[in-house]
Amino acid sequence: MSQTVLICDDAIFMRTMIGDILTQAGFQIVAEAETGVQAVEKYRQHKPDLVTMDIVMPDMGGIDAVREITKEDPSARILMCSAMGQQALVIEAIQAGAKDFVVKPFQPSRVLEAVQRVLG
Amino acid sequence: MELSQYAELFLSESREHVSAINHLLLTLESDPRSRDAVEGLFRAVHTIKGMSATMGYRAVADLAHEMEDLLDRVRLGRMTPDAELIDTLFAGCDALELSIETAVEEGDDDGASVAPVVARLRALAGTQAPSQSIEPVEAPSAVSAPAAPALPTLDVDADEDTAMRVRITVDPASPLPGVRAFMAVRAARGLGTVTSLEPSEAAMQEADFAGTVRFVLRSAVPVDEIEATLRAAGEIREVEIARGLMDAPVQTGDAAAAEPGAAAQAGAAGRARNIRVDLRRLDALVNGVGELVIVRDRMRRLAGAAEPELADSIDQAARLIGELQDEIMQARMAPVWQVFDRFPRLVRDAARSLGKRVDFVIEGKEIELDRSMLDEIGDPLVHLLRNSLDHGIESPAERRAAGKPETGTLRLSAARERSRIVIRVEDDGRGIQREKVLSKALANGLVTAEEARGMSDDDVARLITRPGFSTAETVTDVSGRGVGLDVVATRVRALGGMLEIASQPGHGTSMTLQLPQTLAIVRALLVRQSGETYALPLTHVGETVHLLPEEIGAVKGRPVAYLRDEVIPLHSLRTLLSSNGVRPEGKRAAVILEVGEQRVGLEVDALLGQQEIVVKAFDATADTLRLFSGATILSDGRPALILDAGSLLGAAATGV
Repeated sequence: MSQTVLICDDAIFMRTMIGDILTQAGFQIVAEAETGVQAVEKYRQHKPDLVTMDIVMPDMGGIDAVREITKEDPSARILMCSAMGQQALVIEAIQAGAKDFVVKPFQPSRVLEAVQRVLG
Repeated sequence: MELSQYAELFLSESREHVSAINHLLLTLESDPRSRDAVEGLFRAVHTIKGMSATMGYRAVADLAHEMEDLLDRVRLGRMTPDAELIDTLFAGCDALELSIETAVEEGDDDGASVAPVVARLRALAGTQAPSQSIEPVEAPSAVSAPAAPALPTLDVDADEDTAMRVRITVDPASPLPGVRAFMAVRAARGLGTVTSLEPSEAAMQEADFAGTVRFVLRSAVPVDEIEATLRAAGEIREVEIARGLMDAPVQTGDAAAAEPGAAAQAGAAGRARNIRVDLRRLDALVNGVGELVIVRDRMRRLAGAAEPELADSIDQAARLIGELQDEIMQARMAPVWQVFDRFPRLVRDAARSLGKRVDFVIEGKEIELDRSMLDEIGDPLVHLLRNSLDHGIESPAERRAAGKPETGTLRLSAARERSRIVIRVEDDGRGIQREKVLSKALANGLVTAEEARGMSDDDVARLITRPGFSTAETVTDVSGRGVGLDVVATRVRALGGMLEIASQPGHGTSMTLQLPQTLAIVRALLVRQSGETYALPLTHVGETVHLLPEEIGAVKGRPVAYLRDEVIPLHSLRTLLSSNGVRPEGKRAAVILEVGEQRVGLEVDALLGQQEIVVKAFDATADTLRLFSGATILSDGRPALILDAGSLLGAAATGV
């Protein structure tokens, strides 16, 4: 059975692109979230094998969502999706419990490498 | 990875964010302390930055980056959103919109187009905050990292057995080498204790971080396991581990960083739940269904004479066609906010350039209209809004003198009234100036001096929308004296709608657009005149009557109909069309047209019944066609002209 993914990003564009990359690599997208609050809810609901998490989202940002999720499930495997110039935020996210990160603009190979590290 | 497939998605989502930026800037302008507005702006700009960088649109990304930078300063309280900042961000937003469209259209961009705005944003960031490179919170004191740092010397109290010196070099291709280094150090801390870290974790986050960290690790874990753990942080090029105090590294290794799956997978797996449909395809569907509807009506007429079983099938097919039609029309509906959305910004800019103060209120933005109608009403509405700002709402001084609040109110509302959609632009300005309008109408030969004296205020208001009221020269002159409301009225009539103006001197003007909900298919009343069949859209048909001789009379020499206790002006289609023939004997058939508040009787030879018709529009500006808004094919296959109620009333009023 393919591994399941929850994609959290407020841009459909980004969700579609990440979704395409992961789907082609054999993952199954089980849910998407547009806000941090949704991310936490959907995580609870689906318990996915992998979460991709945008940092800047309305209604609870990605870092707080990571905190919430890892508080409930310390084994959660979360990959942060950040933009250039967000070092400090990525570090905060790692400290909060995220396992790895990728930086926009995404290269599929880098995304998949990071995913391997997160799941490995 | 093939990016072009994402361009449409990028475009539509970016447009939404640009629109949001405009709105939020307006909010911030009226409430500079709004945290929500600043946060929302930051998010919108940030999202555009991420998306455009992914698409490889440099100009868009650069611009978004500069705006994000400014907004971040505002967010952190380092800058205040004053007028200059807001104006600059508005300029940035305009340039952003333009560069997005250009990038998508032309596939790439060189960034030259946005350079002036980028410079302006940078200059502002520079002036308001002189030295704003982000200061490290706790600078690594005196330790400035040498270019190729040697392994750290050990602390005096180093434990010889478990201490090792570690040097980690991050892959230079890593987008955030500082974070990788941080993660490697973090991994090391999981194995034992880390000391003598250089550079510090704070310094790793600086832009000039060279990509190499050194530290001393005390751990009982075997060296190869340590190396594996450190490499697992990702994007690590080299790990050197030296046991004890010796200088020589015992282990080195290059990460075999061949990118797995580098053969980028093109083509999407199609998980889309929404699909975008070319509007032209929807148009073709509507036309197809329209023809089907006509066939349906013909089948229905034939069904009467058919076998009961066949009649049943025809009935069923007719019902299905009706449902299909509803579905397709529904698919074409879009909320009016898609058009209203850009108006707040437009009103703000116009009011500013005119030196007026205006509260702009939008109501009913969720009301839906046919997409093609929506595309058509944008420009007319801009005209109406500009007209209110130019001529309706007074300057603050004038308003104060008139005892009104200095800030005027401009209201744009949409509502459903029966089968029509009513869009209204109302202001609380000075109203229509009767004398000005009449003198212009006199000059243009629209009214005689005698007629002018007898005109009610509503008649005067109506004059503005009469063809020929404003001259061609003033039509394009948006900021000047006239906006060409007659042009707006003509345009709206071509859509099967109606423009109505009401005004109260000193209190304001309200301009109302009445529109059919859909363009393509309308229910129409068919009438016969002098052997020809004409269609009248039901939008403007109040009722049909057969008048007895005693129900017809004359007031001031003009024919009227006495309908219950109402006296209604009565016109004859025969006269209006200059047709031949004589009126049939017996009861006289008439259609009561309702256009806005007006009710007028229109006498015809015969009433033929109702039918759905597919409107084929034609250019109704040519003089001879002024009474018609289009043509259609009837269910018996014959063509018919569609009468334009508004034009009929206009023609009747001028006594053509």
